[in-house]
Amino acid sequence: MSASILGLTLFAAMLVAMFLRVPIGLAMFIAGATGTLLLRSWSALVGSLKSVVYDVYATDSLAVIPIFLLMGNFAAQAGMSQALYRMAQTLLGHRRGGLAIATIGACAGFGAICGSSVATAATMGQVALPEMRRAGYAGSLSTGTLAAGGTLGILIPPSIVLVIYAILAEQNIAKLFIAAFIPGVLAALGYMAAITITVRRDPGLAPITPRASRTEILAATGAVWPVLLIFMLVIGGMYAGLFTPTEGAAVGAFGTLLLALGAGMRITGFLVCVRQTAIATAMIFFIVLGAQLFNTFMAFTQVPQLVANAIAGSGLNPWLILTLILLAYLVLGCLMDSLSMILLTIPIFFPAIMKLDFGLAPEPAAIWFGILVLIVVEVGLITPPVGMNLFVINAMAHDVPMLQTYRGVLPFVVTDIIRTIVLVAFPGITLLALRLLE
Amino acid sequence: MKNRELANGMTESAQHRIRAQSDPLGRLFAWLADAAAIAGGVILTCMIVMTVASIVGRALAGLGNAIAVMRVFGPVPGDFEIMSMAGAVAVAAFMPLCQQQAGHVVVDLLFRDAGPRARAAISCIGHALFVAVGALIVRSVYGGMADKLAYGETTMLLRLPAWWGYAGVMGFFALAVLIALYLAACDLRRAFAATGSR
Repeated sequence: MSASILGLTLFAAMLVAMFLRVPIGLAMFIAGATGTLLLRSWSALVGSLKSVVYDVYATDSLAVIPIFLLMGNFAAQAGMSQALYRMAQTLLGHRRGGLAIATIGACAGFGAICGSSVATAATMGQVALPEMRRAGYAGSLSTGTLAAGGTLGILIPPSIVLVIYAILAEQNIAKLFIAAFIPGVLAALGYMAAITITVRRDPGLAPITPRASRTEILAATGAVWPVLLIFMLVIGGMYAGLFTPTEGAAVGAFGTLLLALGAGMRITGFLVCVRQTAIATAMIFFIVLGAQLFNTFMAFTQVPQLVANAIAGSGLNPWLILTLILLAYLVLGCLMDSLSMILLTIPIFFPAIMKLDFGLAPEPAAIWFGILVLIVVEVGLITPPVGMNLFVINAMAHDVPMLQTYRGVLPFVVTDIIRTIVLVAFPGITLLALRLLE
Repeated sequence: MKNRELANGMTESAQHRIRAQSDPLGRLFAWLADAAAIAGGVILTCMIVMTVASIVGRALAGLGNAIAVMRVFGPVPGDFEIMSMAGAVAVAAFMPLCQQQAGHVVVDLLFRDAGPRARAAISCIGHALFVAVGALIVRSVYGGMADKLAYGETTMLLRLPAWWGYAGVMGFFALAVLIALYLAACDLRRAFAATGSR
């Protein structure tokens, strides 16, 4: 059996195992280990595992992941999610659908200090879901808004998915974060537009709530300045070279720790943060470890190189290829989670894209592609049937059937697709922030 | 405070699951997994504080050269080495809790409406596979540790023995494997239990 056939067979077997509910990291690890065993030997497998496990866990650029997760948890303990929601609500709450629009605004704000989508959806869901339901908002609108708003957690930097992309594509993480900012804001605006259009077509979905007074607005706005300060310090400091990504993350986590302590967090609250960070971190690192083993094996079989060359050498129009790749992510995203999708596909698609001519220098092209991939895998978090954010929010809203949540999230998916088309057609939008800062 | 209650509410089900372990072995594992995660969290927090201290020290060192009294300030020496070793151990320390709380990502598509016994059987397979993989990891990392110990390898600046990091990662993975073994046995019992017993 030739190496490439073995590679493809194990790839297929791994996908089958994933659908049979084998944890994703475990499926990748087993496929990689089996492949290494068959292609090489037992001693080669144990020999590489000797260092691979420790090396993955000690990777400096991966250390930002638990730190960013802890930062988001501290921010929630500090009451930042409430403060952000309160501000957005006093500013926007009196319009039709205002509480949903405010939820998107608050999610965007929380996304600026949280690198995870599911965490943003869960945290903001705790705050915004009861408020919207109490005000008489329809279940589909409430859950759809929160599921989509949660994706702003990774669309707006910092973003754990971008950290992984930066490592796989060997790109500068600070530049990727800066580039993600404008598309992230566009995402928030698109979601707000989707809500406005939805409630205009069906006003029964969202009753009007009273307008806030000027003093209420001022008080609410005053409470969120730490979020802005920490965001500027972390992203700005990393980009300006004041500190490394790990240091930037540490500064942010330290800042939110102080805020949480100031807001009265004691040992129980700290332990809540630690436990949540622990489970999410262990889950992510185990997937990265599995993918590392699997990708090393796949590289050995030459399959990624062959596929990348076949894509690049197909003679098709580069823009058509890019479109097909992004469509493939949208389809895969309905079934797979964002992290494993990136880990499994970037080693194949990234070299292919870099061989194609989009009229961009290599680094801008790599950054632009990274942001596009970020957006399409994020759509996977809210597309049925397997969308992590949908599950998280639906589990919180006991009275809303899953089908209503599926329906509620559709307008947001439409704006995601429109935004992707715009960003593909005009790479300058993604690269604008970087150009302005140069 | 209201927000703290909400944040606690998020893990209420998790805490419930910890308490729900009825037999002593289950409680012991739950306690150990929790203790390991907390240890990892404390390490991580110390890393954060040390990094911030290092940045402040670096900034003050520039100032300190001008003002002789402040020469004592400076970046924490070898912080990079501590970060990578402590980071590896902290992340490994999170593994037992993730295993104990079934925190791994799964594609939950085909078995969402399966009955409790079918779900227990599937969960059992997942834990059993982790036992196999985890045992291989423990065995390999042990090999790596033995190598470092034999060569007496240390880090560049602080001369920390390199095997420390390996030992930490190995120990926490071993705990995760034991927990997975225990949970696989529980799932197995549940899968074959008479209908209605859970």
